[in-house]
Amino acid sequence: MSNEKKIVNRVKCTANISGLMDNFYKDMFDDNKGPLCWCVGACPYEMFSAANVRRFQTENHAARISTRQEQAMFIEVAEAEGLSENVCSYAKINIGFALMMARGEEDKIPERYRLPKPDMIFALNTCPTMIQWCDMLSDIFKVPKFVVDAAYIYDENNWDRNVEYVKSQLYDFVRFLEKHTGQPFDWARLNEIVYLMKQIAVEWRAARELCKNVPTPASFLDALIAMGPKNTVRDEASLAFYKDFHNEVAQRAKDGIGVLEQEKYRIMWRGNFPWHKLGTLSRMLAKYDAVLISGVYGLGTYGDHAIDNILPDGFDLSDPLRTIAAEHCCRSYTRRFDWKMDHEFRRHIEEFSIDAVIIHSPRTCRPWALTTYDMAREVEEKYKLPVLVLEVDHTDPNYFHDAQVETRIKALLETIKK
Amino acid sequence: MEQLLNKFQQIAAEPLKTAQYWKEKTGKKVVGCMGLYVTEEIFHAAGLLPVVILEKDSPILRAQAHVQSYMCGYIRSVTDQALAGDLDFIDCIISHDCCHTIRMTTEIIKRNATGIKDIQPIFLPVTIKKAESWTYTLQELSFLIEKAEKLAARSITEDDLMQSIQTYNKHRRLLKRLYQLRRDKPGIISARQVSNIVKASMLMPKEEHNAMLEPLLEAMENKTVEANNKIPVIVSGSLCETCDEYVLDILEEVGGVVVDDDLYVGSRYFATEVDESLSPLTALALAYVNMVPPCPTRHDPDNKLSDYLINMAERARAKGIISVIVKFCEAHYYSYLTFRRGIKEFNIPEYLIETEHEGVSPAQVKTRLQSFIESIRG
Repeated sequence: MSNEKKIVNRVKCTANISGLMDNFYKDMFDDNKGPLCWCVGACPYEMFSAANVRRFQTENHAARISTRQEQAMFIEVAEAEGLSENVCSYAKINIGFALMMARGEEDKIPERYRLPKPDMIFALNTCPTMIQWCDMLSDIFKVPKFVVDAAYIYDENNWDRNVEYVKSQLYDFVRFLEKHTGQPFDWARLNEIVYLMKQIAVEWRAARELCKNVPTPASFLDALIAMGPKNTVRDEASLAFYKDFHNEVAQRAKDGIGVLEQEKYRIMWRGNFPWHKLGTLSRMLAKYDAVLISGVYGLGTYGDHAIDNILPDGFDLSDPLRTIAAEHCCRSYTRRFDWKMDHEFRRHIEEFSIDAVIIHSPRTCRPWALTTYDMAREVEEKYKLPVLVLEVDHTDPNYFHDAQVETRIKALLETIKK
Repeated sequence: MEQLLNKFQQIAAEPLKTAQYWKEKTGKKVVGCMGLYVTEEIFHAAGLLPVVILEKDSPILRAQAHVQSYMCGYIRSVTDQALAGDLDFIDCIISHDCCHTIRMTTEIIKRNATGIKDIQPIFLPVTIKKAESWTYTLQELSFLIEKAEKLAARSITEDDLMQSIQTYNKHRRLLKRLYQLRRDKPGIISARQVSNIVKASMLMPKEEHNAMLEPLLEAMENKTVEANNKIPVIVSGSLCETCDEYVLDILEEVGGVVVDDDLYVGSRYFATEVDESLSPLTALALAYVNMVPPCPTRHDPDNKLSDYLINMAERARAKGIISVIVKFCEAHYYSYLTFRRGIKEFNIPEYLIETEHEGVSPAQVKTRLQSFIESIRG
């Protein structure tokens, strides 16, 4: 194995993401665009747009801070207030951020991360942390909140009941939005946005399908960088971006252009991602001619095939709230172990010619961490693939030690029989 | 009194032995309740014995291969017990999805603990006060009734359910009397002894526990306690598991006296009575959605832990509040911070102790609790 620095040939249009997301966050300051809601977790953003309410996702904001490795200050503030170091690091960053704002310490926050105070808070608890986090923000800013509860689907026969459970709460949320905006909810606009999401999903899926090619024209990291507009912005500009993304990936596939000059190992990633080490991991893998091809985190929003089993193409345009509810019920957090093994491993391993699997067991995220040891065993036994369970974190820098991680990745790659 | 207290202590010391003995004696089935809020009355009504599955003190040996060390001691211990075969005699474990850790632990046990006869997850709504949650709760409780009927191979009538509700309510009232006596006569009973009593009640038929409690309460009513200068405090937390007794012992050794508690193996277990004037299913569902103690794992914005504990402290004339958090209990971490912010204006000292399965140095805990008690004493 060579130790020379390898070039990672990223999908070029992902360079536009930074500008798209910057503009999105700049919009948060535009009072003409309705009240501002801080959203905890993956929320039904289509509904906010239809109600003319500005919103952003707190995790996305925390991840933005982390990618530039500037999260430590916010974590310290949250911990000093009394929040345990063992709490989700996204939450620690965001709550630290919120505390600084509430105390009037905005000037200590780097300008590019600043945001206005919220008018309301929303959470959908596909991850149980969301509700408490939402409560805390509502308490810090003394603003109203709305919480949607998503059930654990322990029996697939309960699917319809669980989708209806979420859907009926989304109806209540419509009333909440009408109350706080003083405007009737724009159902026609909701239909338009859900249709827009369908178009985005078509582009996204087509681009992801092309990653089955050898060499892969785009990596999982390209996808992670590109997912922001799809997961949080969801507007016409987002669709334009995904058309570009798809076209570029298609061209690269046609021309046989890969992410690496020599693609020797194709790796699957399971779990959320250490945003603060995105570049480090990418380079670390490239050094050994390995590339992350596929994974589940963040890509599921209307892009996951799982929802196809429920709604044709993942969408029911005649019932947008049911579509939104079903999409949320398809997320990993609410599903059983067997379901995850099938949707989060089998499909990726079989279809993307995977050589090894890295399972991220984040130190401060129990939903992604627990069962990873069992998953690793099952992948090894069933697919005869080497697996590395990497115990780091999605944003807390204290748990990532470069040299240690590299040694473990190197050891993983050495076990691949080629 | 001492004799009765010793009996409670013996039952608490070997958590599953009483249920095993009951099963051998009666030939009936035992149901294990894992996580918070499994509706015991339903299984009791079917003639089964519901017992709470608690953390065990023994070192975790087998679960390490399945559960990370950065998960709470409760689920690591329960997984370990399941893998060791300790829970094999239980005919069905009902695992309530009260947090994500329990959700996934249920899956781990199901896959790996081959001796477990049956483990059934249930989901009760987190947002307990919503209209949708009411329907969902009724559906889950109806499902539990069906499950209990299958296990017992008999049907459960409304009368059966009502009788069980009455037995459980009687039990709750007796425990409330015990707590009233402790408030009225601080020091009449140690915090460890109270913990043993409540713990025993989770592990044995309620009728038998009631029969043991009644003479104890009588003896306590007739007993006087000498005046002392101990600092009255309340203790809150330790969700899903017994509060480490050494913490309670040390607290009372260093000059504190526990006058009330909001512990899981404590008042949280019996605080909510079930309305006997309603139809049983409605009453049981209402008891869930109207639970008295604010729960860090549930969402009920109008029921604040800070208000609840301030009221509890005032009622018991306590001078300090001690929160006990089980390490890696994420729900409680958030709840604690909101509580801490909420009590700022009340000027009551509070202190946090974090416990973990492998134990925290008692010497350290002693120094910290001593300082806390002395700071209140002034």
